Amino acid sequence: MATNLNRIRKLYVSADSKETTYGTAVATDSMLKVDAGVITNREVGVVSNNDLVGGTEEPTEQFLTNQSVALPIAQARVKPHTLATIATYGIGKVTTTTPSGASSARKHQITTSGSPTASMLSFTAEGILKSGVNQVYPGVFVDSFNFSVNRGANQFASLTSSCYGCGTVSSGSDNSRTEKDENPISGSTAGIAIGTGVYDGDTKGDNSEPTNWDIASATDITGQVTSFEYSYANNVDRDFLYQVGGGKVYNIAEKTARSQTITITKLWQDDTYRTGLYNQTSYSLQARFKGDQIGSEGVYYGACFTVPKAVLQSADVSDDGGRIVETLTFLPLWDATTGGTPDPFGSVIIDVFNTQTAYAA
Amino acid sequence: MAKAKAKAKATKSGSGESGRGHGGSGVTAAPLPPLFVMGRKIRDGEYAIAFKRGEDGETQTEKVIIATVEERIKNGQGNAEELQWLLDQCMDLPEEAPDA
Repeated sequence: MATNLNRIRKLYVSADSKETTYGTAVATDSMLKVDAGVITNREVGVVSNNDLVGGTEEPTEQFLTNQSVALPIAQARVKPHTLATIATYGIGKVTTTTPSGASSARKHQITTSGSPTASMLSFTAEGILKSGVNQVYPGVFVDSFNFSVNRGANQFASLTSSCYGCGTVSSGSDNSRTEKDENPISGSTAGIAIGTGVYDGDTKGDNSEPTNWDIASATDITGQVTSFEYSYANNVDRDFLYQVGGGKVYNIAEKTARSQTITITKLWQDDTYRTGLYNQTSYSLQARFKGDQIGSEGVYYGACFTVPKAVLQSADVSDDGGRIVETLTFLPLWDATTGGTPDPFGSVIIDVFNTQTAYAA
Repeated sequence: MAKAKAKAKATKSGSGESGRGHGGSGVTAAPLPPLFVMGRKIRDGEYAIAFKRGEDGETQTEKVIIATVEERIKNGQGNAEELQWLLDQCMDLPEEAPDA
């Protein structure tokens, strides 16, 4: 009996190429070194005849009704490439530019503005459980994802996500995909602000100076933050994805209305935000995470989350290790302001900086 | 807010390929200088410049923080010619700031 070690397995994805037809595989292009504890599994729906009479205590037959693939992707020290891949396929709209003065650096702006209303982008994944056992999973969509950073000795950002494949599985042969060579996103060089002014209409292209904000009247709370978390969900009704006449696998990738929250836990200073909760004050938010310089181009690896307009859903004050903290849960609102980037501003803007030339092209 | 300027400055290196290094990314070298589309002042020392790299290029907007760009040029971080072009566009903009 052979033992197959978990860490030997690999996961490849088609980060740069979306599927042009849902469920039709495209070539993978990069490896994601995901958390070892999260493994792809096949999901099925079955129905037996235990609801029928017939003279036996046990059911005598069972039918397969449907199949899909659960492909959760998590990375405890999330790299820009992984964040960009998951956020692009989750949110559905990305604009890639070469920042001024740069050559290999790219800014990938992922936005709710301009994203499809119902349809979702899909990618192809390939899992290698052991050498020679390559399984291709087409029709993978991102149902939800969560990005978080915590104060403390380990400030690497973490990403979790729920992704699902259409249920088709075939043998693959990709063996040489490599991981993008970049450092994880970290809160060790970062800036987080809550503003009461408006979004400038443009975010910086070089990811430098984390505390030089793209929102007006910003209050720098970086040193007070104990955790920052962004949650996104497409709220997919997976049962709806099986069309009549479509066999037993997902036939489409469609979401319902998305939902998002930004949760910031910070050292409590005064009642500004509890008052803001009662007054439903309009805020803007920004969190920038700066990594190493890309080459010597003056552009830095990392990511920036910008919320042009948000209101508080809760502002709970509590004890955390003897310190008074407040957990601020913000609801991003749709900002219909035009004339900036993106246009309109939309609800959330995620900029990711690395050297990947394209996502979901 | 933004004041469109239909100017297409081609002042420095003409229309030739500039030799921008692309780090082996496989991206075709873009011509310099970029083509100005429009610009606006955000606040003192900060501007937004929309430009295209070549007539057929996509319009992109760059937020320009003058001090940062000057520092990049001084430190040799990135293509100095394109960064200087960006600064020049900011200097040409009217000194009107939008409502905050």
